[in-house]
Amino acid sequence: MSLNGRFLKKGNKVGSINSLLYGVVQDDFSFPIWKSWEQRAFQFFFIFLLLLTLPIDFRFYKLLFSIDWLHINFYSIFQIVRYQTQFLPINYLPKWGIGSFGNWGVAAIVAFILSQAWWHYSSNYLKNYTALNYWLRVILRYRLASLLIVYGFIKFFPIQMPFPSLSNLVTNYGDFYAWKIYFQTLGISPKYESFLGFIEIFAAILLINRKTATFGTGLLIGFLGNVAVANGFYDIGEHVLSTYIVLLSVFLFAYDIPRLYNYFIKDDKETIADRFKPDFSEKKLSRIRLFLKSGFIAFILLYGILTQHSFAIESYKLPKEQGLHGAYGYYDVTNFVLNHDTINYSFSDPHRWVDVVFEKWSTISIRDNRPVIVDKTSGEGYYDKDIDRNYELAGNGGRHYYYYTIDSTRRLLFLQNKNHAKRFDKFTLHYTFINDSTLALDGSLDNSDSAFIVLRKKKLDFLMFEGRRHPVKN
Amino acid sequence: MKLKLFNTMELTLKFNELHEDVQELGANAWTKTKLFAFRVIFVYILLLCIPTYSGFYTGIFKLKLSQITYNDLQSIVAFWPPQFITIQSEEGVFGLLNYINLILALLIAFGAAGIWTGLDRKTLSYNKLYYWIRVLARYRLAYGMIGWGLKKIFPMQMVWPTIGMLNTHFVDMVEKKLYWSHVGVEFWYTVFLGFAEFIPGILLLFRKTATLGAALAAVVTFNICIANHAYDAGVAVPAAYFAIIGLFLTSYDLPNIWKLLVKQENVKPFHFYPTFTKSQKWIRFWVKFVFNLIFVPISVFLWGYGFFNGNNYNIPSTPGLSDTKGYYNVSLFKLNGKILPFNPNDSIRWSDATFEAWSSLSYRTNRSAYIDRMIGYSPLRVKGKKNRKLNQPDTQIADWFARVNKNRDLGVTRWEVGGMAGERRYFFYNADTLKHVLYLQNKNVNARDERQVLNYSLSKNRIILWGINEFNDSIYVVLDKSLKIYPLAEGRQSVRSEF
Repeated sequence: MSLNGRFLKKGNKVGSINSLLYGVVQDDFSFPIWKSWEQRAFQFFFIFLLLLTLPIDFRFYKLLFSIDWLHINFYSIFQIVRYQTQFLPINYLPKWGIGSFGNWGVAAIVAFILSQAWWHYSSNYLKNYTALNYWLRVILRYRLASLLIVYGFIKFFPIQMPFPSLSNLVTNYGDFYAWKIYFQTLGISPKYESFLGFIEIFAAILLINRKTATFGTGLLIGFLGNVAVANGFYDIGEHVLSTYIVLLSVFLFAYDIPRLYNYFIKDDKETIADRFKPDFSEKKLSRIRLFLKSGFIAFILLYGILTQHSFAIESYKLPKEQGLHGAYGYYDVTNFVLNHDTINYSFSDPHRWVDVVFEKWSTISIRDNRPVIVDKTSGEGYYDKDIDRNYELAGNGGRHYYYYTIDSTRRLLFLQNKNHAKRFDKFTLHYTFINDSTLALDGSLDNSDSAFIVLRKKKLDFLMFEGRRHPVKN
Repeated sequence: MKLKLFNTMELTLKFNELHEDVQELGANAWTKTKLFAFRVIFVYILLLCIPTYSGFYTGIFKLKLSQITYNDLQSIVAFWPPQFITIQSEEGVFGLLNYINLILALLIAFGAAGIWTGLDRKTLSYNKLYYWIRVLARYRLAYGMIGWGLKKIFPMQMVWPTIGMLNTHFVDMVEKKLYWSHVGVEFWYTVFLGFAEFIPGILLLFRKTATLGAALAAVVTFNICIANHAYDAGVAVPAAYFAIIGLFLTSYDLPNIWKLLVKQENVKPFHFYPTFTKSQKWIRFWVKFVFNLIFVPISVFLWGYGFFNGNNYNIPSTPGLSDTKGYYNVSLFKLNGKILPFNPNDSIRWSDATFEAWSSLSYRTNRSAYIDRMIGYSPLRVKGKKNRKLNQPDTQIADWFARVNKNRDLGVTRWEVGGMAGERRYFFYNADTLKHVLYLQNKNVNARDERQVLNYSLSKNRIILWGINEFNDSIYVVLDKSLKIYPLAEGRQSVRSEF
């Protein structure tokens, strides 16, 4: 039975939305009648998925129009692409657990009500949603591909998980949150991170081709452990987005499941291929298609170039100003004098420093015996000021991090605690290089009249750098 | 059918017709290229799927049913591809030369296929052989995946960090250690990864789901292979070898799936199944039944039994002194009666100490040691006494200790001690709880002769140790428990944010 005439009057209303929507269906396509549960399921998912996918949120446009196109960087695009519609502002939702999916709940309820109405008011039952389903899949395919592109490139050019800073390298394993361990473990192997990024980009390219989309989603499902599941278990904090990625992958993959089922399980019969092949012979349609496709490819190229550029000049999660020249290193605190009283090595004295790290950039980290208030964010924002670049301290409960500026004529360091809860913690130290590996600091510390500290550089011959390949004495 | 040779074009046309005819008839005759390719692949897969070293068979004959553990079954399913040569260099253990045996096997397969082609000029197709080599490959891969999956479903391969590890710098671990630990810190993620290997294995057991299982197995093991290279983890070749078998199995249906989904053409799969006589059916049923019984339910049972009954191959099983588990500051340290002040740079004075739930004491001094590099045992790279320098096959011999009725714990040190810098030393102890004496022995495989005998006294949050250390000096140590809370254990979702 052909329902062609019911939907499709090619040539009659050229230019109308209807003719555009249905124009993709081949002339000789015969519409199978969908079962009523198929129709109802489609109606629900159509609304539900579009609610989650379409940018129907003024905040999205606020973000979009706040982009400074003259000084664009990858992060502005990254932020827009990963933005998810908030029916309920995300600040009012719980960060973890089922409550964090509040916006999905809203979308599901709205979709349920609207799909009931749709079912009720649609004039006849013999419906077929081939064309609508095609367009829905187009939107979802590109949406999924765009997410994979933005997350794929920041792994391919490994800036999402940068190599751990020296301070983090000399932090005890138990002093990290699980997400930080996950990030750092990927971070120590930039090549593997690039490989995972490549897989995401490759899947995205398979997705923007209708015919290979199933292979793309299949690949994604095969790499689920690296993408979504890890997000859930390690409290990485992007679990709503990564669940959305899984939802789209499964929905898109499901399209071919009946055929795969027939092929593998009912393997004594011939398997009928999908007969729907979009027809872009209509000029207007093909022009729109060309425009959108090339737009998407331009987006991939632009984003790829911007990410590469960012990778080449700086790792956006790490501070960028140069640290004190020649000071980079891991220091033992050999002398610690407070108010002219020498405090020996101690595991309990609240003032005594245990060790100090000078990073290559404008950060000093100090380990002492006082508790650390952990920065609970993921440190993934893009900040201009070094003091705000907090990836190095996020999820680290072992060290205190200070941002510093240098007055090299007076040889002064102005330090300020990077932790938002302790920004008031500021002090100034005068520095003297006694020799290449010894640095003396003096000034006022912890409301004392005077402090005198001698730091001695330790060797950086760590086991991780030695590797497993030779017998090591370490 | 006779072909008249008018010109090449005609010939091609005719040939194509013939080819299509043949395909429609159900691939009765294969092309010469296909025949040759099949012979190569057949020999190659056969070489990969049959254990080719004697240790495998002697191992099976030595099995004692009464003492069987998951290790025995694992050593059966985790056999390695043939090893024609052993290259002892670094490149041979970690680099591309590691693949030499897989490449040699392929060369041998080409040679054998050449001879085979010379001998056999009559056969038109190998549907039957193709069927049987797939059966072999399917079950080999399936049992392998199930075995590797089970050590994660019952998390043993990667486990929660020990207290010693929690108090070790990130950078004081080798990359493999870090890779394994980052899995171990999330129990359910480990279990998930286990199922990601187990489920493809199960799918491979059924003819109709085998291709799906093989495709999943190929993707998963390919990822494992890359990760092994990235982290020098050492089992890249076995993972690649599984991926090759998975790819071989997937290739059976892949052209059809491509045709169906990408070209959108109808397909009628040509799946060849041999017909069996009644007695053959009977044999087939029982062989299948017995093998599946051993390598699926019995395997699951043995891994589960080991996991829940203190036979975790990465966790020692002797219980430690009760109520001592924790991290300790060293409040007082006397060497031969003389107090040494706290100094993290001291090579003799302990700067901290840990007690685990099991009988293990660790402490940190500023003194290096030859470390156990956590390489472990792989028959692929160790032949007799050869190649033991780069590999350390003797750190996982828990079962051997157990068989000779010795404490297995000194054979379970790879996780606790391996892959970490030597400043922290780990000692196994035997506690005489009546006389309050600890008999300690270094767990490091390179320093097993270091022993100490220490008296102990326990009070709330304090342990005092005194006696003779590994250098025959007398020591007196006061340990005070630190009430440290670890961010890793507390978790990001917890309300606590001060540590």
